[in-house]
Amino acid sequence: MNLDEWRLVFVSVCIVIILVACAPLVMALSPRREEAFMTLALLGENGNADQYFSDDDSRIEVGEVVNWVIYLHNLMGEVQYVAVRLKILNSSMLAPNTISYNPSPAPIIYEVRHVLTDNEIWMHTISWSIDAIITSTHVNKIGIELLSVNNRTVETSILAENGENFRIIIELWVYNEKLNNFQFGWSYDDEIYCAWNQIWFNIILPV
Amino acid sequence: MNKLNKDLISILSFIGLVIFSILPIFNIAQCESNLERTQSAIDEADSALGFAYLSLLKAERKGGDISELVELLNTAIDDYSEAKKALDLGEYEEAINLAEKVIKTSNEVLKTDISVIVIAKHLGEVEYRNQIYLSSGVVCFTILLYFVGWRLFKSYYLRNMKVSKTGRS
Repeated sequence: MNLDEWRLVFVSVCIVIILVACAPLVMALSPRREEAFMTLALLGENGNADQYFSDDDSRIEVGEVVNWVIYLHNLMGEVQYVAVRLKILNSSMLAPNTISYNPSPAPIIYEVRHVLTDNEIWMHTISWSIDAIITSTHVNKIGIELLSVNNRTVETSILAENGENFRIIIELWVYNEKLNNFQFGWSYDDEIYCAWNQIWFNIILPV
Repeated sequence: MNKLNKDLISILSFIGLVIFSILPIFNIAQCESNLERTQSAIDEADSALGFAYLSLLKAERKGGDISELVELLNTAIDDYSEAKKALDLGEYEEAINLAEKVIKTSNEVLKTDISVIVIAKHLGEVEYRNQIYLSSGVVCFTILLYFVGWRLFKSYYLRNMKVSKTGRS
């Protein structure tokens, strides 16, 4: 190699060392942005996506206890204050709308709140049962009168044809710092996202 | 005298009857007042939790370590949930006590957040300053290395070239 080529090598090495030395400073000044989101799931009693009901039978009796696990993962890049709201609906009642980002208008039967740090996974067990039903032989409808979730009893008046196609819905509400209140879903990059889940079940009429 | 006694008894009976009649109204008013008071305490606790969370968020954005404060706030949230449960069961005193505990814990979080922000800001500034010094030092050293190193290498290279030419001749 001649002198000019060696000079080129020297200059190149020095430039590389300078770039490496300045890289941490550049990264500190402009942190990398990743997409922020949250994941919500409703799992069976073992924390898996199965065994939602005993014997995998979604027909449940009055007084039968059903155990599920609410799974939440915070990937928003910072701490989040969330509320998970449970609602009970029949097939004709409005579910949450993911196009207009409106929650279901059904009343809340249970709410649990938690603060999650970034990248934290949180699991919360819910045990629920139907404590009392009302039957109407005229129109063949069965209604849920009393429902317990984690030892809290709630009065409801949800009716369904033949006691079929009830559903429990969970909605994710996130504390919005601009609104100073919870909102259904979360905002990221001036867009709104929402998450909700539902599981259908039927009621076995008492003999 | 008998007539006076009879009149007195009648008047006292009438007063007793009136008091007995309006007593339930007072009780109902008292209950409603307890319910309102309890609901108000729970609403205040709810607001306090929100403010504490926003303060946590601010501390985290400034680079503070909020892991312990998150645990503290979650215990306050559990107390809030118990307060609401007590309200539903009509245990107003218990609900108020729990709501006050929530407010106290939330205020603790708020106060601690301020010091976390101050420490984080200071540490952040120190780290930033150190990073600038280090990067500047490496850049200066590299430039110096180029000029001095290149001169040394050039004279060594030329010396070697001279020796090999002398050797050949």
